[in-house]
Amino acid sequence: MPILQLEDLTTNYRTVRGWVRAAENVSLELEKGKALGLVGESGSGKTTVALSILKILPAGGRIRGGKILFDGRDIVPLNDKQMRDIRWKGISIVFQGSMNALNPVFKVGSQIVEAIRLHEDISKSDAYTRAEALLEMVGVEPSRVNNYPHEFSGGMRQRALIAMALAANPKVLVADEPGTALDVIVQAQVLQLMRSLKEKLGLSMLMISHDLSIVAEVCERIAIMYAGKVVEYGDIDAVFKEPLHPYTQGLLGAFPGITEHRKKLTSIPGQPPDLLNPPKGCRFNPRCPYAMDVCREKDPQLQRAGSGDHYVSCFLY
Amino acid sequence: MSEAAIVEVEGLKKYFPIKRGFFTTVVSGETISVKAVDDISFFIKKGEVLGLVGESGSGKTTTGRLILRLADPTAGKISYKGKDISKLTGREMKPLRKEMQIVFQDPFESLDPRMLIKDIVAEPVRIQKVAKTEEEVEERVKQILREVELVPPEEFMLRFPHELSGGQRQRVAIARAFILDPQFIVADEPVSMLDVSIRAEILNLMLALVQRRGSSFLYITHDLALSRHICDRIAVMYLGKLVELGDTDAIIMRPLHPYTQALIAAVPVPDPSSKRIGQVISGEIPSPINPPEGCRFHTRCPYAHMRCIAEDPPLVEIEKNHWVACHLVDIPRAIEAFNTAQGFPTISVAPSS
Repeated sequence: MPILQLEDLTTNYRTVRGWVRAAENVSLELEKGKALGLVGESGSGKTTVALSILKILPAGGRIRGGKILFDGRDIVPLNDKQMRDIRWKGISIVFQGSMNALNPVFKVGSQIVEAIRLHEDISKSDAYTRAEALLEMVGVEPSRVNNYPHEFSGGMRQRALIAMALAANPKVLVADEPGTALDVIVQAQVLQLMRSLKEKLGLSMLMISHDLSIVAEVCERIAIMYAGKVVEYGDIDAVFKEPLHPYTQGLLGAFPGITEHRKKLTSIPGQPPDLLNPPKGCRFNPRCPYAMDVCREKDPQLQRAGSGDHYVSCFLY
Repeated sequence: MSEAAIVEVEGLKKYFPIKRGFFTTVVSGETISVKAVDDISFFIKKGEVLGLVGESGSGKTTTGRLILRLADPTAGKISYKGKDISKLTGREMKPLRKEMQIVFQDPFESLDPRMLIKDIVAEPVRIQKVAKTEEEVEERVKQILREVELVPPEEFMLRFPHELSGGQRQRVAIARAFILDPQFIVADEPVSMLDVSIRAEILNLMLALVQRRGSSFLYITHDLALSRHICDRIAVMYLGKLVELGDTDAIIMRPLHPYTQALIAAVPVPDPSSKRIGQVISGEIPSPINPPEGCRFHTRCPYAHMRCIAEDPPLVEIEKNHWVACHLVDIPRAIEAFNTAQGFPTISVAPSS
């Protein structure tokens, strides 16, 4: 049984002009001890999915349908108090923007200790010992518990955030754009850390990124989102070797590898749609080079295609 | 080497002084400064695309601004078409601004939100007084908007920046930079704020505009993978120093400096079957206020030896058009020089690929 399963999750934001359809009918499965990559451009709904899973949507955001099964139990109907038992201990999140996610007026250690003591009834000194161990696990000198965030470099702050997310031994770690604001070398260090944590702790990970290559390095499965919908989903090798959805093909073309021979870069013409009023039929049809009449009329469903563990929502298949 | 060069930089330095209290300054008698750019020399050939690559804090943006004289160099010489422009006043620079332009990183901040697109794009024409009548200004604006594919231009001219998407805004910024047909363009991370699916489109557009005019292009970026596909040559900066410079293929396929090698190894590969083997160097870029002595990379370099700590390696041409600042590449050269001097047969020391 998957540790985390989304069934037709629909999350919208209420605005004065109507509902913004940020995520619609998203169905995903995260197996225990595996990593699932969720890839999409800004506005594709990937962060909305992450926030829905923890039920920490900003004002106006509401889960309007579907189920979120964590360990077999639907967490959508849970109230705030019940959710508090799931957050950190069950599902934990590393937020985007490592530079701003720590509180600048508290020492890093005391922020980690706060997280530990909120979820476990242990003494302050025991919690500090735990915080030091956590920092050491993510590759930060344990004595730095007494430093303030401004004394940390960008990479260390990202590591400290990961340590904090692991404070209550979560089963699932959601990482929203890990390492995006960091330099390539530091980013590679962080990815290496995530990989080793996954193996060492048997963590299940949902990794959200706009960068296909980052996901390729860490995850076993991948889901591509476009304009609030999952357009392609499956085993990472299958998706990379044989991208089926025209959007996935376009994205892969926009990510040249450094080892590849010099080539003219390709891109996807046009821009993502307005989600207040998404296009009829397939949401990618205005930008799709293969759009047919049916694409403008009917909404394609995610279905098995290609070989093995591979799903696509496109009328071409 | 200056024959075909349009821009040449020699010993360029930029130190930003750090402001401290008056008393501290008087007592200590010294000023502390950030050595953003510290003694770099290179040139940009006519019609070429040169990529300036480095991590944040490496001094690449400052270099771009210095060349355009948007910042004043602390020391060094900047030549444009053989003429030293490093000491020109603002007024003396004005006619040259027609020929040198810049596209900034963030199209959300580089466009005045209270100006119409038409006025934003027309501003260089008006400042330089190259058009005689208002009709001519408008004609030029329409023409350049068509060229950056903001069609129909009549419709875009009367909009404000907030009505445009990020990609469209960057097209406006590009139109503004190219309206005077500049011969030298600096683009500072022009696509890093944009969505991935439209990055290639904007880059291809800039390349087409540059090629059509035969202009030279300094492309400042942290993204090695993209520069591999658009640059003719690549210069790598680390902590204010140029560490390697050469043809794109040479830099990517046969990087000689350990830092360049580390940078290339750190670029994630969009291919799950080629899981990178964990060879990532540790540490982060040190502070440019107090950079390490000797070679600035020695604190992170896996091959550092005594000489690297003591001595700053000069940038030397190790093979044709491939420059490296590293003591390691000096060793085969030293052996070769020794062999030649001793009359031993020369063994090929071409860097292995």
